[in-house]
Amino acid sequence: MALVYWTSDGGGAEGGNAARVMNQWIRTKGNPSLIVYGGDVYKSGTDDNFAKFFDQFGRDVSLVCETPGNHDWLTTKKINGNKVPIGYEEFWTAHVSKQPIDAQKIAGARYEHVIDLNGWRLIFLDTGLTKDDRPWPFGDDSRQTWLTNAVTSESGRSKIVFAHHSRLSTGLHDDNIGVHAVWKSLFDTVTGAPRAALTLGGHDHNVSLYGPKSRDNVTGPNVPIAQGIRLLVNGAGGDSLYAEGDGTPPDEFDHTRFCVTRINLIDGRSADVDILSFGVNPKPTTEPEVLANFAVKFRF
Amino acid sequence: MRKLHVTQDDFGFWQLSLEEADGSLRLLAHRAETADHLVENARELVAEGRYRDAAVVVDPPRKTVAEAAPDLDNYTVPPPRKAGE
Repeated sequence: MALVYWTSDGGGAEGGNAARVMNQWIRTKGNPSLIVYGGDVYKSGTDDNFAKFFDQFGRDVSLVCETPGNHDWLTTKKINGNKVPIGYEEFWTAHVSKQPIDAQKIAGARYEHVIDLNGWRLIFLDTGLTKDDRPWPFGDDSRQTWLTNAVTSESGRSKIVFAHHSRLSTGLHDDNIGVHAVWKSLFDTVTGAPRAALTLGGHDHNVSLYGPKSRDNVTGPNVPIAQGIRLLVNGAGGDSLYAEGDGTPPDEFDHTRFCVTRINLIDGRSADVDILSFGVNPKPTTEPEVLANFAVKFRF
Repeated sequence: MRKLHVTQDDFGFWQLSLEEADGSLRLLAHRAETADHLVENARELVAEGRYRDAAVVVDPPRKTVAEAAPDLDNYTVPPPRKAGE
């Protein structure tokens, strides 16, 4: 068993109290193997913002990695002729963590990586600059090749893809067409069979759970799990909450409380995914409540 | 004309509401501790074309959450609100 936790959209200069409480619980009571921050160190990924983020994580990010968000990319600097989110780059370079930086690569490719844990492959992408008219991989074919290899070089579908933007979402931002190439990459190119179990994103500040969706009709009806991949959005990490918007309606939705995602990697064929609610006013004494309607069990 | 209203609720938190041309109101976001991010979001919604014709209206600050000193455990999702009300 290995426990992976995800919070997103609450670190830095905004929403800090909820982020602090939830991260303290994860570190002290959650028995984490890995903590994923899903991106956006507010307000704009500056050194000061990351200093607050570091405090919110108890000044220990040794088990943490971060998929960059759009706010991290608001403070940039050119390295070798290409922009990078400089606060992000310098913070994760300076601290012992689970977040690698591949200095041989350019732009967001530097931060994309894989962690194999307890029989599961966890794939982390930088979609921070994504817009509908500026899709991942931003014209860099090597990133597409890297993702395809990350998905296909390991057999089976015990894989989870983590990125700030989710293909399906509802709230202020809604569905993200700009990561459609990511979605298509998670299926067999010939048969259309899924090669992953779940995608996990943030960006919209709520919790939205989608049933399995097929490669070619992601906004359409749910399909049997053997034919599709589930999508989960949890951007309820502390900085405001977004009501349901015009994106694809999820099967389950909540915008009334701040939440952590817990993924229990039981073995190479099994995992449980839960949403832990810390309520609308998290306190150091708060014990989270598991939201039963969001529970997902993968058994392959 | 549609409007995007950035206003404060009774707890001192900021919220974003959409007023349609027919006067109907819908809550888009809530429980923000500052107005800044919601103002940015509203401007982005206009710039990206989702509410291209909308005006962004921002209330002046009335009180902070600390000044309002509410019992936050009683917080519930607020109804949408127009600026100036």
